[in-house]
Amino acid sequence: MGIEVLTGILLLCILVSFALGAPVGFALGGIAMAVGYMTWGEGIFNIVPSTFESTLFSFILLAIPLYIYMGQLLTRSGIGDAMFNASQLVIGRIRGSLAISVVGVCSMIGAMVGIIGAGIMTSGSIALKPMLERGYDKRLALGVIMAGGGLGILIPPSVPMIMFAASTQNSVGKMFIAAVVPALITIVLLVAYIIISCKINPERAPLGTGAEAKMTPKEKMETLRNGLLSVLLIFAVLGSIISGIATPTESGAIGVVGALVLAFFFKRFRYGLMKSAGIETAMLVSVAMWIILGASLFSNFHLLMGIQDLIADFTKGLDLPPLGVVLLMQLMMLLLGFIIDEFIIVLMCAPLFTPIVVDLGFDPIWFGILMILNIEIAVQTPPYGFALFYLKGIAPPDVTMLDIYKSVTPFILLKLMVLVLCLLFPEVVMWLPNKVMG
Amino acid sequence: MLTSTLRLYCSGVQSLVTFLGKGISVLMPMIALVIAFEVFARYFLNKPTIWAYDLSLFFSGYLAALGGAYAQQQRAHINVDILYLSVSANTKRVFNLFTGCLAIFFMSVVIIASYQKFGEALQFNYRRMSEWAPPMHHFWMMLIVAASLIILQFLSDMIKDTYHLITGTDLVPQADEDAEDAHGN
Repeated sequence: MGIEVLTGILLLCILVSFALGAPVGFALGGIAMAVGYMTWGEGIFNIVPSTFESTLFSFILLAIPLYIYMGQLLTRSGIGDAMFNASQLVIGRIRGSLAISVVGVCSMIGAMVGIIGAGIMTSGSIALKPMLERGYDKRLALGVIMAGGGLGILIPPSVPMIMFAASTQNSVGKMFIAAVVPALITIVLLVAYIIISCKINPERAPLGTGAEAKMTPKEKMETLRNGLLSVLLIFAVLGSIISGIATPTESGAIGVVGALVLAFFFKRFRYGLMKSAGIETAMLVSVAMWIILGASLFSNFHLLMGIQDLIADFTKGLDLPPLGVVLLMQLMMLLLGFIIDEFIIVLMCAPLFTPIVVDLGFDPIWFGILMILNIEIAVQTPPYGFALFYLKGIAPPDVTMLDIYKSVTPFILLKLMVLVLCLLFPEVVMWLPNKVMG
Repeated sequence: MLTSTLRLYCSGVQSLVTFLGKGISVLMPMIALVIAFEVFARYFLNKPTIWAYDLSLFFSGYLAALGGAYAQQQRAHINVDILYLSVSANTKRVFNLFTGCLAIFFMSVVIIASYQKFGEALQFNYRRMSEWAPPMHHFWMMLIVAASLIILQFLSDMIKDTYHLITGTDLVPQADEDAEDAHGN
């Protein structure tokens, strides 16, 4: 059987099993093994132990449980509230300040959680209510939460970035540093949009009642201190990676210890908090790892069959300029993002596309960042981007799907601008890592 | 008679998987502590450990693999639900049966492959390629257990779905399941 036919069969099987709602990791592994058995016989089973061993003994991937655990501990210990209150204290008098705080706090929380879904859920549960209570335009309120929550995978430490680095043998640290400038540009654009749009339509964001002004100086100090401590932890984690004191995985462990210390400090530490955060993390880690196991098995099988040459020949046959090939890949990932989860796009596309892009003379780190930016847009693009449904899940019942579509549109356009900027000017991405790591 | 046997099987699997799934989560803080200790030992004791690296990887491997069955029980595994959410409850059950077969097939392959590796690891005393060199056999045994648990859980789900498709009633009444869940917490 030719590789073309085989690829066709594999894709068809995937489409059918995905449509039937099969868990993605089990479906990918099961299909690879079933199709492999029919074409190669029992020999194909030998790739199971080698794939499982290399995946479960990857020190890079070990960063995933640690960052997820840190995020779970922090969001349960009231750190989100602490940062939100502190930022209100500082910028409370600016029109649209709540929305701006959401972007700031969401990006911090997103940084800790590192997964889109969890980012939106946590920030939504902290910030949506205060905004709606103060009479914010609901489209602005929802759009901001989506935009901020989506930042979670762009701001290091980010789980999909770890997956990209692990599956393409690149440096996680370099990837994290490369994301800093695009992430800052995105945040500045988002904040600028909020300020300008609130200036034009003041009724979208009524001013606060000044509850912050009534606080005693002592309360003010405490609020500020708590907020600062929380921000400090994020910088400590990133700083230890950038300065080379610790590997990204070790920084994750330092972050966990720091989160526990903060929880003590906020007097939120309970045995139950550790237990529930542990159970939740264990489940998320299991889910992520079984997807990685299934997807690696699938891509190892697929690579064994020679898919790499097929795609390389195909892109050569199209006779596109190098940037055209990258654009085509971006378009494919954007379409994939409408229906599948961020993890799976990275795990399936990164090993296939990255070697081709590197052959064309591009930097894999640059391509990885483009992939992350792209996925961030794809998962919140109407009508099917899956993050839209997370947002619908936390929104009040009178918010319709159409409201949600309209609320996310301006923010998606902003993020698209960042993607195009990074695509056209690779220096935006590569400047900082080249400067720091040489 | 058959009904009560099936019911016993399902609730037995439910308890076993919940117990192991929650129990294994104690490894999570331990992973963090082991790695944090390694950093501490390197900088403050000037004496990096030889065991932290392998130990943390073993812990996380156990956590990830053994948690799979619990995640399935809680329906936490990610799937593409565009079509799935729009079909009727009975159609979902038929879909689930297909999914179950695929997952059980995959897990059987994992068991067969891990069993071979387990035998080899015992026979040739395979170890991790590191200074500490811990033995590998228990890791393959653990994968066999993890995959078996996932099969047990999928079988239990499939039994419930089939029962409902045939009789039109739940095998384990919803209230009982909730009660067990609350008890498990």
